[in-house]
Amino acid sequence: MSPDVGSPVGDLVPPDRVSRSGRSVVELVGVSKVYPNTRDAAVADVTLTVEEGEFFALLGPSGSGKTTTLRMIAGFERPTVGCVRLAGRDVTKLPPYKRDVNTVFQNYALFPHMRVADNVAYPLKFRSVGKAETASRVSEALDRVGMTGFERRLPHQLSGGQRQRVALARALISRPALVLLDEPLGALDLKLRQSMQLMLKRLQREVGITFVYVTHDQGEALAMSDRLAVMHDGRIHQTGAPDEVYFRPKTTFVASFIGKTNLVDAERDATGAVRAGGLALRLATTPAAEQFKVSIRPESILLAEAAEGAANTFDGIVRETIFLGSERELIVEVSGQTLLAKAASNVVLEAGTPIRVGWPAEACVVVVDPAEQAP
Amino acid sequence: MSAASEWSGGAIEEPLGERAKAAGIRVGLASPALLWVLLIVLIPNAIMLLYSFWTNGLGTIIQEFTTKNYSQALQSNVVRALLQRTFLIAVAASLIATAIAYPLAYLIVRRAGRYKLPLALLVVVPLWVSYLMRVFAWKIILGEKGVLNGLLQQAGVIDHPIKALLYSKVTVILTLTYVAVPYVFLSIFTALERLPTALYDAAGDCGASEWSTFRDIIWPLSRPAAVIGFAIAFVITFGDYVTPALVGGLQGTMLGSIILQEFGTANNWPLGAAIAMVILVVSFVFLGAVSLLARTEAVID
Amino acid sequence: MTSVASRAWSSLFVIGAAVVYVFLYAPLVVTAVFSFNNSDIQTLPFSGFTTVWYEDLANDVQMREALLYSFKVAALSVALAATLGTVLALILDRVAIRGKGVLSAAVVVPAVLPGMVLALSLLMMFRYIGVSPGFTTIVVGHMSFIAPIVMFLILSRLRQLDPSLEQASMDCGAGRLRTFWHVTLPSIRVTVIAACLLGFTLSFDEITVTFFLSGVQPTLPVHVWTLLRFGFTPEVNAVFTLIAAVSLVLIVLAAVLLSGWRPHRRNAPTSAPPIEQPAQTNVLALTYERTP
Repeated sequence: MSPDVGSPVGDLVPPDRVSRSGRSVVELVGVSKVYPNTRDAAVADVTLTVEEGEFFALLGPSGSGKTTTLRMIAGFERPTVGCVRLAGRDVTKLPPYKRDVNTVFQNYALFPHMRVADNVAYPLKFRSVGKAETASRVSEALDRVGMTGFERRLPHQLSGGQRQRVALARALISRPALVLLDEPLGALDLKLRQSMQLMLKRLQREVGITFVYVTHDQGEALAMSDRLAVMHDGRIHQTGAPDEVYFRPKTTFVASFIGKTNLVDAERDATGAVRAGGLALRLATTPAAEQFKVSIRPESILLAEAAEGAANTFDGIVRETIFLGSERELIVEVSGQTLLAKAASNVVLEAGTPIRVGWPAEACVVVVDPAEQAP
Repeated sequence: MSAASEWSGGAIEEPLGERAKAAGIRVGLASPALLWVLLIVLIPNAIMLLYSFWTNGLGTIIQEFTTKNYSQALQSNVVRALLQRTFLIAVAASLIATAIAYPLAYLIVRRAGRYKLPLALLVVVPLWVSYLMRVFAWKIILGEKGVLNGLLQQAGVIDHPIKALLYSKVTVILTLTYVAVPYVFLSIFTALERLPTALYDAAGDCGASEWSTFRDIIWPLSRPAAVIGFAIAFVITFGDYVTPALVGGLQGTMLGSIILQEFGTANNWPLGAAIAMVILVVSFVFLGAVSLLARTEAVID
Repeated sequence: MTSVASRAWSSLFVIGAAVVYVFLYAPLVVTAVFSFNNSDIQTLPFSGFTTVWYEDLANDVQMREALLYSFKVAALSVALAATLGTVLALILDRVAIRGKGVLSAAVVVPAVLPGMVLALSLLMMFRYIGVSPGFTTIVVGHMSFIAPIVMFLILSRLRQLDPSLEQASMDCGAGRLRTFWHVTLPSIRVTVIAACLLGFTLSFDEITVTFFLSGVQPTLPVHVWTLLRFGFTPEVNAVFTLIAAVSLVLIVLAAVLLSGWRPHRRNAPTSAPPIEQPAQTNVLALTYERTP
């Protein structure tokens, strides 16, 4: 687990990040990809920078363009417009084999006729590395991923998790400046996925290589990455540290895709007062837009006595409670709005019970739709 | 075997007698298949083998064991020369067909994009046109008064038609190659098509150029299919008698033609049977040897 | 490789591919074109357009008899092959007996033997048991190589079937026979029809096996072959062109059926998940089986 996650509510000071030197490894400038015979761009005007040593996640639902973006960095796809730079050099037109990048593929893409050791050694074949050094680097790479002893196995003799480790060793062996990972844990079951997450994170810290990690699993992205970019419909909606993206979503999509949230329609009048239906909301800052949505995370909603004294306090009625084991979710109706809140699991509240709810002004995050955001 | 076990009686512990009974039922259920193998495969081939050890005596078959037919066939210069020629023609046609089909299949799989399937189908469509037509068409094209000579004469390249185009070993090889290309293509195309595109990406990612990717990854993984395609072509061309009869002439006679003769005008069935056995054995031995090349440890899932 | 060199290579490949397509289609086009050529001699330049060869064909009694005979042979051998092929497929898929690997290899032998060897072995068996060449022998010959092909197609279909369907049926109280009739058979029906169409074209065009097994009355290909060996009339081009056209139609039909296309049926869910394998595999699998 990354220490970044789990910061208390409201703590928005970015924690110290390890080994960020400020030198960019990947730069995408205005990159778009339109496939022939399609109307919409798979990737639209993406600009992002990944810095040396970062664990960077590209997060989005399927079809959001994250994998296409990754493939353009690797060189499997050529952008329709825009420019790809690796370590400052324009590589937009270079084929994959001329880029100092290695990829861990979604289904591992191990060469089925080669033994584990040959698979791992394959990238060294094109880098004029001597036999002795190849052997020592192969065993070092296999050791790093915990696959020592499997050198003579063929890929089909390995389990999914083992294949994943071999693919990782193959990506690391030529010591590239950058490793791309395309949903590397997607095919594994939950238990294995969690232990692989820890291994990946530890490995990335040990070798100090920049990782760009594609995933559709928001929990995975939050847990592992130093920074992440949230993509939807080919566009980047927001880039930032996990806590920043979680607590300060910029768009409705980001707010709803990452974690659970309450999204309420709101409007600002000339005096600066904000109303959401029957609720008069107090925000930390006066929003610029007149029509917008407000995102309030369930865990920032305080209940009963705790709600007293918060900037926003209302009377509500409990409509439903859902027991989740470690906690309890409450659906509370407040002046016609339905809000999701959280309570400790030992709190027992019957449906129909009146309850006081409240949240601080900072908990209200103004979000917009990208259509309104676009120039 | 999932849906299968319904009929199989299940693997639950049963008393011995019950188990024997269940096994009996299973054999009973399988009897049509056993009967098929017996009547269509075993008995006819056994009888052919018997015939090859009998002799011909003035229109009747003398049913006495002798190896005369084999010694006659194998000592005959004609048969030996024809066996050699037939073998070489079949190998040449199959090799050329493989050499044409492989790059074509590779090109279509890698470069044809969304035209991949139509282009592949276009290669196999000729298989659905009458076999005789496919062979005979070459006679129209290559004949002394044929299309090619006509074209060349009209273009002023030649004054007199070239006779040598038809009725030669080369003509037979050309025609058999023509017949074989779609089969070999099919075998190779399906194999290349099954290779995940991620393998090409992964090789490129490791630093391999397109040529290195082909040499190190794609060829080793598709070689079995190329070998199988070659073997299919060999089986088809080795026993063919239609092509040599139509476009071979004297120069292009093959072993099949001799068998045809022994069963036809010469009416010497035992000798014909012996030659057919030789064809069978030679093709099995050759295919056995070739199949060693098709072995692979790779499992593609 | 510089990009100029690689582009040169690419264009070389494309030109090579174009040459292969010309090689594949020139003979077919030539035959079709000459079936309309107004001359006895097959050469360039064309003497003019005519349909006289098709008219000759229509009036050729022998040709018509051969055609009819071929139809009868094809119809009967395909019917037998379809039944047998289905039975064989069911056995290989569902009956657990020892030595099944050997059995499944032995069953397909007739389809992979060189045609000549299959023909001769059957011919000698028939002679041995005293059946003279004729309709029966041809039908048995055709059936022997078509049944394994039908079996192969049905077997691959059976292996895609969801076993839970049959389990559900038995769970609902249907017996094995009823389950087969109401669940298994309908789900392989389309494959059986497609295999029949395929088998029909195979039987209709077969010459290697047929030649040895036919008696006095020739099938169409055998008749045409005799014509070709002893002289030639352009009528042959016409019959080739016609057969090619009919075969292609049947094959397209079979391919469409195998690729999972269904006519709209009432009450049928239109968005049912496709359970067939991808179209291409099937279309190509059809051609796999065709040996002359």
